[in-house]
Amino acid sequence: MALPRSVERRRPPRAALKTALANEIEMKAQLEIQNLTKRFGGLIAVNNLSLSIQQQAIAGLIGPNGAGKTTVFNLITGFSSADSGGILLEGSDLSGRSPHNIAKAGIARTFQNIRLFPWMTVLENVIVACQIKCHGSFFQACLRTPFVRQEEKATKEKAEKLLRQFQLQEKLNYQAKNLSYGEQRKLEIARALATEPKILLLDEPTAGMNPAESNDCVELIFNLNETFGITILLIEHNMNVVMSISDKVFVLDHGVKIAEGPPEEIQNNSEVIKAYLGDHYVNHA
Amino acid sequence: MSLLQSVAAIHAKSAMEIAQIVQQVMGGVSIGAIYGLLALGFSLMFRASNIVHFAQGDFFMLGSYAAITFYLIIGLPFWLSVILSTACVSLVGIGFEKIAYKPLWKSHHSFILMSTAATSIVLQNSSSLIWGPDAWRFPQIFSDRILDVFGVLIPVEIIWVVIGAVIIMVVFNAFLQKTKLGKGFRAAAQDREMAQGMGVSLLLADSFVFGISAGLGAVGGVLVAPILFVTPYMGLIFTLKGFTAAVLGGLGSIRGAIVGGFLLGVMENLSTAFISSAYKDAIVFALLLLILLFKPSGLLAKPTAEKI
Repeated sequence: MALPRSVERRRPPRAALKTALANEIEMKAQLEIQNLTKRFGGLIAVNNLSLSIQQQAIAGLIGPNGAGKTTVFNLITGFSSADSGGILLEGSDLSGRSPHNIAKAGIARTFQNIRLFPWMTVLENVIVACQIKCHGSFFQACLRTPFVRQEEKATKEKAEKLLRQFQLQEKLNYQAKNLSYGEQRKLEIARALATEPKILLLDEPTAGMNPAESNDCVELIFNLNETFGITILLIEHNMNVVMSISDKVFVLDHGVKIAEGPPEEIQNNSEVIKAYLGDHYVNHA
Repeated sequence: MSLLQSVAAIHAKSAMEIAQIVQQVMGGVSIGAIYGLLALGFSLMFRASNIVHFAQGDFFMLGSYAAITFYLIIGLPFWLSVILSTACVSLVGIGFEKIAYKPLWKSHHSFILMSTAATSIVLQNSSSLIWGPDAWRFPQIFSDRILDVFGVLIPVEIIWVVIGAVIIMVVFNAFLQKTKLGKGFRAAAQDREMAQGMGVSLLLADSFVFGISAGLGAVGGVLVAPILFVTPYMGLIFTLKGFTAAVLGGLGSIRGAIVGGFLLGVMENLSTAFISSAYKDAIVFALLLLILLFKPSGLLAKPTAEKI
C-alpha cells in the first residue's frame, strides 16, 4: 500500500479554527469548475470535470501520470481553451479570457519545471510580476510623470520586501539563472505572490526537493495560506505532502474525477488505490 | 638638407593619407548609421521573438517609398513626411505580424522565418505595382554644409545622423531596462507563456516589437532616399548588410547593433578606398563568414548575451 495512512496532520483541522463568520465565507466557492472538457484530437484529456474550491482552502489535485492534472491548470489559467464547460472565479466566468487577463483577475501559477526569466535579475523577476497592479499608461511612462516615478518606487520597495520574506534579499541583483535550485523555486513562488493572487496554482512545488527542502516548502505553503489568505490548489506526487497539507483532495484518472474528499477518506478509497496500483491491490490494501 | 626635405615630404604624404583615411571613415560612419538602424531592428526582433526577420530591408525600402509619396507626390514638409512614413511602415509591420506570423507562433521558428521571406517578396512586388519598377530619385534634403576640423572635412549631415543613432540607442536601452512596458517585453522575450501569467499582454508586446523594428527600418530608408536611387528591389542588399552589422556587434545586443553598423560602414568605405569598390560587398560578406566562424556571439557580446 503506497498511500501513507498515518500521516500526522501538521495543523489542527480547520473547522476548529473557524468562527461563524469565517464558516460563512468558506461556504462560498471561490473557484468553481463546471463540466469542463478538453480534447486533444481523439484523446479526452479532461472529461466533464466539475469541482469547487472554497475560499482560503488548500486543495490537492492528484492522479497517475497523464491523468490531465496539468491540463486542468492550463485551462484554469487560460493557456489552453476548453472545448466545453466553464470556470468561475468568485462567480465571474473566465472562459475565453486571455492568460494575462486571468492573471489580473487573481489567479497565479507556477510550473512543473522552473520557469523564471533567466536573464533578468532576481529583483526584476519580481518587479515584472508586481507591475500587474500598476496603472501608469505608456505615455505617462514616456513622460516620466511624478505618478509613474512614485509607482515605480513603490513597486521596487514592494518587490524588495517580498524578497526579504523569502530570504532572497542578498541576491537581488543576481541573474535568476545563477540561483540554486531551491532558491529558484522560492523565487518562483515569490514572483507568483507578487501578482497578489486570490488563488495560487502550484504544479508540483516539491519536485526535485530533498525531504528537508520539501518540509520547508510545506511550511511555506501553510504560511501563504494562513497569513496571506490565499487559496491554494496544488498538484503533487509526494503523498506525504498532499495528505498532510490539503483540506480536500481531488483525484483524476484519465481526465475523469474519480474521487474527492478529505485526505483520510481518499487514502481509503478503493477507486483511488485501483487507479494508482491496479485492481489486485484493492482487497489487500 | 635633402634628407630634411625628404622627411618633410614623407610627413606631408602621410598627413594626406591620414586625412584621406579619416575622410573615408567619416563617409563610413554616415552609411554605418543606416546599417545600425537596420541592425537594431534585427536585434530587437531576435531578442524579443527569436526571429531573424528577412523583410527588414524591405521595410527600409518601403520607408523610402513612403517618404517619396508624402514628400514628393503629396508635398508635405520633410519632417512631417519622416514621421508619417515611419508610422505607416510601423503599421504595415504590425499588420504582417497579426496576419502572417501570429497564427504561426506556436509552431517552430523556421515557419515564421519562411514567412518573413514571403513578406519580403510580397512587399517587393506590391511596391513594384504601386510605384512602378523604375528607380525614383529623391531630392537633397540635408544641407551640404561641411565643417573643416583640422583639415578633415566633415559634412554636417553626418554629425546629425550619428547623434540621432546614438540617441535612438540610448532611449531604447532606457525604455527596455527601466519602464514597466520594457520590463514586460523583456519578460515576454524570455518566456512568452510565463510573462502572460504575470499579466503581460502578448498582443501589445508583439505589436511593439514588430512595429518598432519595421519603423526603424523605415527611418533608415527615409534617410537614405536622398543618397540612393529608390527601387522596389533595393531591400535585399540592406537586409544582408543590416544582418551582418547585427551579427558583427552581437545579434540581440542594442549597443552591439549600433556599433556593428558603424564598424561595417567604416570597413566598407575603407575597402572601397584602398582595395577596390568592386570587391566591397565581397569583403563585407567574407567578414560575416569569418565572424560566424570565429566569434559567432559577436564582437561586443558577452559570452552569454542577455536576451532582451
